Amino acid sequence: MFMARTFKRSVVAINKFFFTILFITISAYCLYLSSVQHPILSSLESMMMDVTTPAVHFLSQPVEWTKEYIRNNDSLREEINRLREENKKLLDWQVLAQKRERENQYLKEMLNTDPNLPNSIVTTKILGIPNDGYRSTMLIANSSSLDLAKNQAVVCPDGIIGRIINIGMTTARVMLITDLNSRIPVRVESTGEQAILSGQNNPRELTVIHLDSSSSPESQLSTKKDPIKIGDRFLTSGYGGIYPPGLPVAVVTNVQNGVITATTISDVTRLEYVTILKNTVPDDVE
Amino acid sequence: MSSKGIRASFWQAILRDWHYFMYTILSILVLMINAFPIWSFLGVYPQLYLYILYFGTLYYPPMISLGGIFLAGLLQDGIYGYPLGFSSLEFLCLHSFLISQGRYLIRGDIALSWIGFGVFCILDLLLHNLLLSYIFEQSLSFSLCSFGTILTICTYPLGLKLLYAISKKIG
Repeated sequence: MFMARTFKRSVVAINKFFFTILFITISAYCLYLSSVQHPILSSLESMMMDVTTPAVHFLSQPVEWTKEYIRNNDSLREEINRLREENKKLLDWQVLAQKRERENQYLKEMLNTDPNLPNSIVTTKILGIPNDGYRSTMLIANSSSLDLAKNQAVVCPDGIIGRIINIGMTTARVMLITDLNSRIPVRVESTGEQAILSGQNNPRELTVIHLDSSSSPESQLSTKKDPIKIGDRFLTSGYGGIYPPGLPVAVVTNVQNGVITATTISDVTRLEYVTILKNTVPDDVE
Repeated sequence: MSSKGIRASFWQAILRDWHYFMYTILSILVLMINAFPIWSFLGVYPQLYLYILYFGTLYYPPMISLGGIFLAGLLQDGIYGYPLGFSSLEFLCLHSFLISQGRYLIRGDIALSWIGFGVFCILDLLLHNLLLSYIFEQSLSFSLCSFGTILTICTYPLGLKLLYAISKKIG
């Protein structure tokens, strides 16, 4: 009886050990396939993203409403006063804009430009910004009509937000410029110096990891170099082929011991919609 | 077997196993709560699923299965955009560690359990950092998530009490 019980216990323990090893091996193999971007695992990843995103979006709605309510109440009065002032100014501007529009139309006709330009941008809703301290990604709504593709640049009226890294049936994942893996080729607006900005997984902080002073036309002409100072703006340089040149990225907020820190111009936590630039897709860029 | 018989046995199985379902749903809910925007807003990222894993493995072993842990890992990967299998591997390694050391932890009082949880969380942080450093091909700073880990450890008695109450309700 005792022997039988001991044997049964041993069998259960061996069974459990075997299954633990099996599951760990499956996980490790999945991880390996995923890191080499196996097509089956990539589609599985997209599927998991499609499954989890609506659930997270649905469950986080009460939190979002509460946050929005608090934010709205705080700034409502200030906003009303500001809007009244702005409205007065806008009415003046409206008259001027109508005049400029007529003028613009006339000049376009003179230049013989085609008004039916291809639709190169699409706008979509933000579904969530999950962050666990290591990854900064944004989930956006997708549909077949949007025709999104990997590596398309995602922007907002303020500037660059990130690029698309994964596409599902109903959702897409955007790697934000603040992600640890994000590297953006930029140039300093005032001096033209080339640099590379890296994300720190801080909500709005970026660090310059490479600065090439010799590349700027200004520095090639003169021997005296202007150092980067607080308030300088970084614009996309267009190198790398993902982001079009000239889009605002960040503003220098700290220069200390050779370490340059910048703050992103766009604040993703306050956005509801983003715009995707569809004409910049080198698919092989990683 | 008649269709009525099949239906009856199906519902019997559901009623028999409903608390396993509830525990799995609880695990999924905790993973979802962990992805709420409120954590980004506060700038702290606690690892709430560690409560479920620790509590389930030590105090309610039949409730937590290898398949459930694997699934939870896949869901976490789907939420945060990690390579598929990353979180499953992390959770399964932690589960194996708990199984090997669990007998010493459950014998003691709450203080020992708390210390054990602290070691468990630090181990998770190390493993997470190590695996991510390998995947991202760059050494990651521990400061990125250490505050979240400290918060998770500090709120352990609260989490334990809450999970105990829920588990009692589930049965």
